Amino acid sequence: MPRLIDFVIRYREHIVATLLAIIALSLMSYGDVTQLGGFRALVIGGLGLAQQALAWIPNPLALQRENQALRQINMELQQEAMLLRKAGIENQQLRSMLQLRQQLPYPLLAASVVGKTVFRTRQYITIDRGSQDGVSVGMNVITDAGLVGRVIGTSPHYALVETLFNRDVRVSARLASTRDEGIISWDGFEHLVLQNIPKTHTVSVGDRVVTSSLSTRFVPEIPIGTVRTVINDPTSMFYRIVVEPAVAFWRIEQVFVVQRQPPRELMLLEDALQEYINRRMQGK
Amino acid sequence: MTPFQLYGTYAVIGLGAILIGTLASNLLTIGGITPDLLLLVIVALALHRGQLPALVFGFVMGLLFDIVSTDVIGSNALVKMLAGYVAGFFGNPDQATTASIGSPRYVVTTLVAALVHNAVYYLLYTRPAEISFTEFYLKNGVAAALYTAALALLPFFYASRQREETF
Repeated sequence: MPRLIDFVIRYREHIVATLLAIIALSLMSYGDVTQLGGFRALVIGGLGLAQQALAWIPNPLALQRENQALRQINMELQQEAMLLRKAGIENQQLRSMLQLRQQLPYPLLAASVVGKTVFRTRQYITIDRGSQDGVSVGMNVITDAGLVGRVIGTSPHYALVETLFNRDVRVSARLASTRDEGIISWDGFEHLVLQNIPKTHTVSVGDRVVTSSLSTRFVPEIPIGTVRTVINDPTSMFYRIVVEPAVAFWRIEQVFVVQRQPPRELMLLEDALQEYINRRMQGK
Repeated sequence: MTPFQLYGTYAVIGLGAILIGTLASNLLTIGGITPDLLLLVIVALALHRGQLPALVFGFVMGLLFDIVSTDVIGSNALVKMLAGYVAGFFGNPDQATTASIGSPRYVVTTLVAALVHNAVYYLLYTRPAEISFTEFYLKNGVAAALYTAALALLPFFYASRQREETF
């Protein structure tokens, strides 16, 4: 017994480290923050308030980039304005002819981005609309350019949005031109990757990628990006397609929340499937 | 300073680091790279008080960070505990705080701890995702470790100046 006590005292740092590592790994396998329930809403509300209070602090690097981007956009817009005057008349005629819907078939709620949070492999934005405004978990968030992400948590006045630049996010997507279905995920850097498109299909650089109707999580036909590069991996039956995101995530200021709640029953089923896939990937 | 006051001070500084890292992460980010302010506190404690307090402190603060950052519960607790464990090998509990932080060893230890911290974190997180670990770690993990080590120069210069004034 004294020898055991002596051993524990002598190697206490390593023993404590091992025990804490076991606890941490157990917590990781137990689940994520969604199981914290009300406490999570409190954290989101508190962070949203604090981020809004700090929103006035300028970020010189971001402002510089934004300035450059705005100049570029300004030039492009000047050119586009000329074309649009001509196209506007033609567009009106076409709209009435084809009876195109001008908006999505769901109500949209405008929101301002009050905070952007970057945690290594996860990027989130906080918006100034919460459960009291009708925002709930699962709702899609878009801009005029395309899909931003999905609401993953709400407090009465704020909501946390998981953007596409997040290692956990997978979006069922399709090529707008050929209707080929695939899965969009983040490449870890500045682009997205479209997977599961067989090499027997034709993919061209510049093709538009939109959300698919196969998933209940995202409203179909929302732009995600355009094909930038098509990589032909000789070891795979599928293309690796690099997609340029439609939304410039680092300069989002205004967004719309699509007030459509995905069917709960299907969501639960998809969550169960995702959990099963995660467990299989972790070798459990 | 009593142990209670000492650890209380570290806890307050640690909570401050979590809050700044969470609320101002967008302001601190350069080219998508964020520094780890909490790591600076953990390394300081490891050098000042040794391995055991540092790894327990790293675990508790990492757990709080997991909750605030909506990360997977336990992930930051694990890597921050590991960072405290690694940094503890460089510690000298007999030294004063200014001597620990005011030594170049503080910056080097921060770099080593950050490299190990990021390697384990990215290994955990790139495995289930379609992201190459080597590429992602070399581009983001090493850069983030260097950024954190660069920030360690601020407390290092402050403490070394305090040390000179004492002498």
